[in-house]
Amino acid sequence: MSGQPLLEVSHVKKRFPIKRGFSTKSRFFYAVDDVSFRMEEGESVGIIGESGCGKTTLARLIAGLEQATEGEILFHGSSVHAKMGRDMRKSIQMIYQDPYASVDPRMDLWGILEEPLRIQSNMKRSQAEKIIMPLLETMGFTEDSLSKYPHEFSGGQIQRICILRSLVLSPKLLICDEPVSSLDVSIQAQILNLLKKLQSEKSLAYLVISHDMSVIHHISDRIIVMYLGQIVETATKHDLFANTQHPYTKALIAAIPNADPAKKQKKAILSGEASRAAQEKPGCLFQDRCERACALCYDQRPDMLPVNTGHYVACHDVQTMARKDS
Amino acid sequence: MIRYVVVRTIRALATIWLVWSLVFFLSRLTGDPVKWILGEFATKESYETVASSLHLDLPLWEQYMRTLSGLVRGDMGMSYYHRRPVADLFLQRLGPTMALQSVVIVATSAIGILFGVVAAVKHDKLVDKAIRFFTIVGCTIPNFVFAVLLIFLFCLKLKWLPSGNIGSFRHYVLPFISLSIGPIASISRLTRSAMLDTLSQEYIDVARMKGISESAVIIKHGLRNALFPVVTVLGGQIVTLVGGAFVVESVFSLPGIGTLSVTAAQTRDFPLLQYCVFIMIATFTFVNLLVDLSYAALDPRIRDGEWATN
Ligand SMILES: Nc1ncnc2c1ncn2[C@@H]1O[C@H](COP(=O)(O)OP(=O)(O)OP(=O)(O)O)[C@@H](O)[C@H]1O
Ligand SMILES: [Mg+2]
Repeated sequence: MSGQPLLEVSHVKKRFPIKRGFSTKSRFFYAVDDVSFRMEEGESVGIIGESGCGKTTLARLIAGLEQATEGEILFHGSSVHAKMGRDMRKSIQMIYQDPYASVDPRMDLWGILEEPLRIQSNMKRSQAEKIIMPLLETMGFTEDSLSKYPHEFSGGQIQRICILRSLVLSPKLLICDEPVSSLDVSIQAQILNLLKKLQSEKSLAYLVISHDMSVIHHISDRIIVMYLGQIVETATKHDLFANTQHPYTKALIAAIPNADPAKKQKKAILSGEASRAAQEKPGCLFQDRCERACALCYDQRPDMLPVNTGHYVACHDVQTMARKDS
Repeated sequence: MIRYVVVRTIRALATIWLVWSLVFFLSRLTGDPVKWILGEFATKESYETVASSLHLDLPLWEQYMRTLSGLVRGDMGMSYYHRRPVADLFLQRLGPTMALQSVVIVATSAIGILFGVVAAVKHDKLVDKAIRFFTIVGCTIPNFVFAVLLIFLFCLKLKWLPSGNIGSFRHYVLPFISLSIGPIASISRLTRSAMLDTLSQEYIDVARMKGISESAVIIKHGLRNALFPVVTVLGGQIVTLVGGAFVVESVFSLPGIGTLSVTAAQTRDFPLLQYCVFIMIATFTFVNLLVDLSYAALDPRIRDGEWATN
């Protein structure tokens, strides 16, 4: 792994104020809390975690829509921020969970697809058509859809339009924030397969965000597990499933509906829910929900340490076991 | 779309007719104009002559039919007092009201929308807080209170501006300010919340990711979507504005439609009152109709009848 990575996120934090009535003393919590990882060109990385763990905030930071409180995000070696140039802007595109909310309801399909090209390169209609038409066809739309408005399309169609729109600028990185969770199960597979196909054709890098392990499993080469704003485990897809370390990851994998119906094992089901208050206590963020929590876990925040090449985990239990073994 | 236009037009006409009829019957409950014309001590004979010359001796129902058929034919009758066609009197007084209203409507919309956009873009910053304070004050204090305060300050204390009657544009300054504060406040409040809502939509982020400049994002994708609810309310705002004009015209004794209608009501000048009400209702209704239709024409979802257009 030499050379410049596509994306390098280092020690990024984002805090938001906690609003509490009229109290003037501001208190803060960290939606993203010291996150670091890197992505190579054409790689597909999945981020998984419960609702509210900061996945969308991280995505918005990487897309330059939000400014990090601390830390740095480098894309091709240059810093990502709200006022970055158009050239950099177009290399990072994003698709959203609710495809209808991410298209301007007053624009027809042509307007939606042509605007990025006009803004980025002042393109004339005939030039824009040369780029848009072939893409339109691969996505299964005909020319007369171009004069239709968003409400005339179905959810699956709109999501394909959003993908299409992000592709007209030929980005290097496509962030997909819950790309299929608002769609019917039958259409989910169709969209995921489309994303996979596009990736191999266009050497796109994907950062796919989901709370659904089966979606992440389907599309990612490498998986990052987030809990309350922090990364708790990261590994290749194969390692993460074959050699699961963190108790939280175990619970997420166990929650996949009939992942393997043959072994109906005792499921590690999560109890309770993630609470922001954990950020104010010392020790592991997962302490209150962990069956294996020991004294150390209430005392000290665990570091991310390797258990294998490319496989990192932040768990005292795992780390003490490893130390004993060696 | 055509069906929509037809249905809405018919409904607008029905509204006008209903309000007009209501005013016809209600005004006749309030007193007898003949007594007002002749005074307390009129003889029975002179009373009857005047009553029959004004057709006030006919049964109520017949009076109604006569007036209604006059309305349909475009004959609006004569004022009881001035003995002149009501339309002439109305036109004579239209100037000051129109001058004031048109400036107020244009200026309040422009200023209100500007304030709202600035407040939303500078959300939670000092400017936003200042504008929010202004909107609270502007929305809670009625315009006649402003009028009285302004007269007190600028006419009586500082003697900078005249009050009462017309002449130069300086006569319009205070009525304009007292009429505008409320609408500016409510339009900016509405624009602000509509803009905040729109700017938090994902397609705004998408627009930014396309590389569109921030001001273009705010105007093209933000304001143009936020303006829909604002336009509807603007239509309704005109109704309150004209209502406010009655009061403000009276306070500043501006000889406009407001004072004309108030006098007509006080003196039981039924044809004149009826005419003033008719013109105003017709104007409101058609302004609202136009707003609804343009709204429908602008929004593809309504145009295609996807949303219930009741
Ligand atoms: N602009 C903001 N101001 C204040 N708090 C925010 C803001 N944006 C996000 N948050 C909070 O930060 C936390 C993380 O939010 P985020 O949307 O990143 O979570 P998520 O992992 O994407 O969740 P979900 O799966 O529900 O989409 C949440 O508690 C959310 O309420
Ligand atoms: Mg999210």
